[in-house]
Amino acid sequence: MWVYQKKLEYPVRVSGPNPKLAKVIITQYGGPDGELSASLRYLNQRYSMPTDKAKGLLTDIGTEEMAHMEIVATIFYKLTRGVSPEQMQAAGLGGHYAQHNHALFWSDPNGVPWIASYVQATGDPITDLTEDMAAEQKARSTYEHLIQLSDDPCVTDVLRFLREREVVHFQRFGEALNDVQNYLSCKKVF
Amino acid sequence: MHSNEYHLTPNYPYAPNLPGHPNKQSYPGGSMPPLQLAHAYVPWQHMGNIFSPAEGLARGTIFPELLSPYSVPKRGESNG
Repeated sequence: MWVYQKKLEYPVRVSGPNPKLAKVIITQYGGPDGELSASLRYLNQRYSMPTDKAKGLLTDIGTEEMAHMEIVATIFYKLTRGVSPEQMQAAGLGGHYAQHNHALFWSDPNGVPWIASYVQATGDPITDLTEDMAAEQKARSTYEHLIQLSDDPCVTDVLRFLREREVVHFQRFGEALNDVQNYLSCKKVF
Repeated sequence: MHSNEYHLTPNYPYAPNLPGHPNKQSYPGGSMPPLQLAHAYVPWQHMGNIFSPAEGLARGTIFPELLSPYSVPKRGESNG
């Protein structure tokens, strides 16, 4: 169960409409290493974790990734608000406009829709936590690419916040991996 | 068999700023088991100094030791 707060984890301001920037940022919404992949991966893997601590961590981080999905959605929405179909087309969002108007949709910048095969759940906690650590690094890299592509300092500020969260999550997943490895090796001995 | 030589965080100070726990062990239960080949580990983080809530929000973490801001590479430089 979740408790909902009617505010974003980090406030989103944009300098003005910018459909070109929106087009690339959508990757963190519905791309392979985006926030939807992250949140669903963690919230699904938690059931097969061997310790309550690991289950709790996956729930916490999966929940935060949902909050990040909300932030990325807000950025895209604000960057395309009031943008005409012609301007959407000129920015490479003609396909998006044709299918979704100004609505949000989980796709990557090339229009490829999100698919469940972006994520895995093997039931092996070592394997799954290692995937989660890789996922945090992939998200960090993607945010760095987006920071390089961003020409809006307000958006860049939010991207920097989200990137730093991935760094923190990597540390936490690493600690969970230490813990689970130790738990499993103790189980073998006794 | 848990030699200090194999301690996961040999150079990390023990919980320096945790009141009442000046010599808190770096692993909950004692020292970490020896490191094993073909296993991945991350050094344990200890509670220490933290940023104020406002600064933590601005930076994306309340932990100074986890802060690693990204600097955009100059043109021509590799992204690494």
